[in-house]
Amino acid sequence: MKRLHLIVKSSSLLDFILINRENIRFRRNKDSKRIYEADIETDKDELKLSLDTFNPYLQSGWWIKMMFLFIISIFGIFDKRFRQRYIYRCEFTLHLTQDSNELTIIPCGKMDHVLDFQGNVKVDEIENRLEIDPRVKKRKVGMFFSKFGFILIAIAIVVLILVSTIK
Amino acid sequence: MTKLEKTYVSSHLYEICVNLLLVTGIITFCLSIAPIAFALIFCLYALVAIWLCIIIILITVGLVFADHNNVLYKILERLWSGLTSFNFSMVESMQITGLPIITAITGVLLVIVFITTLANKSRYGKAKPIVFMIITLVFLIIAIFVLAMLNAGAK
Repeated sequence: MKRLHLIVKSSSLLDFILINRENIRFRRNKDSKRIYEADIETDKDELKLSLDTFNPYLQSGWWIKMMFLFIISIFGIFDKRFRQRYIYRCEFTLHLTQDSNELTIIPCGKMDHVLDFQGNVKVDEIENRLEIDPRVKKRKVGMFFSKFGFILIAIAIVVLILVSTIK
Repeated sequence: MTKLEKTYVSSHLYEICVNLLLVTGIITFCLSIAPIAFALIFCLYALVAIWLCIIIILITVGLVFADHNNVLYKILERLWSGLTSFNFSMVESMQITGLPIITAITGVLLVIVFITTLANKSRYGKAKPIVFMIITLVFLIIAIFVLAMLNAGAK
């Protein structure tokens, strides 16, 4: 049984990290609040590390879901923002050479170099880039106009109600 | 299906509910502490009054013992005349109009502090502290206007 101690230095990446296409449960480091850790035990010598390619604009029923959240959160005021303009295209093969391995994932934030690694694990890079999907760009514009239209309608309704009550 | 796909709507709904509850809670809290804020402001006025009394005593002592041709005497004399001719009715009117406004400002400042803390809490993606700030400022302006109008109406 081999052990991999995974350290991540960014909270924004936690939900995206997949090992063998599965999410991992991270815990916060006791000394530093910005460092997250996870221990993985495996019989294999190789592990596939990848980042989730999820984007809210590419999921099924994206318009209904987004508009629903926009209305429920009172014009998006009380909602959290999802800043994922890009899609992660990151895939790596981790070679576990020892019984106890340690790997630190450091985000670089570059288009052609998203992640960097430190530790005693040999990492083979298959893909390590950010991609702009033309569909996301198009749908973002569509969503902006939908929200804008909805705000205008809401303002018109409020004004009409106010005018009718004053009269 | 990954975790992000599965939990997209539910995680957003959770965040919206938490934010709404927190803001409602803060507003209720601010309204409930309004009497305490009034009491605190009265204490502040009391402190100012004590401080004024001490100054008046010091000036009186100075006027009694200082040489009448001295520069210090002239300064004290001016201060004395300034204090005695001070329009206290202005302070009284300030108490009536100022208190709700100060209470509102205190409440809104609390809201800003709590909301910025909340904005930094989000795990993925970032909340909008600037938008929250602008909204709270708008709320503050509306609150001041409403309070001022209510106050004018009460008079």
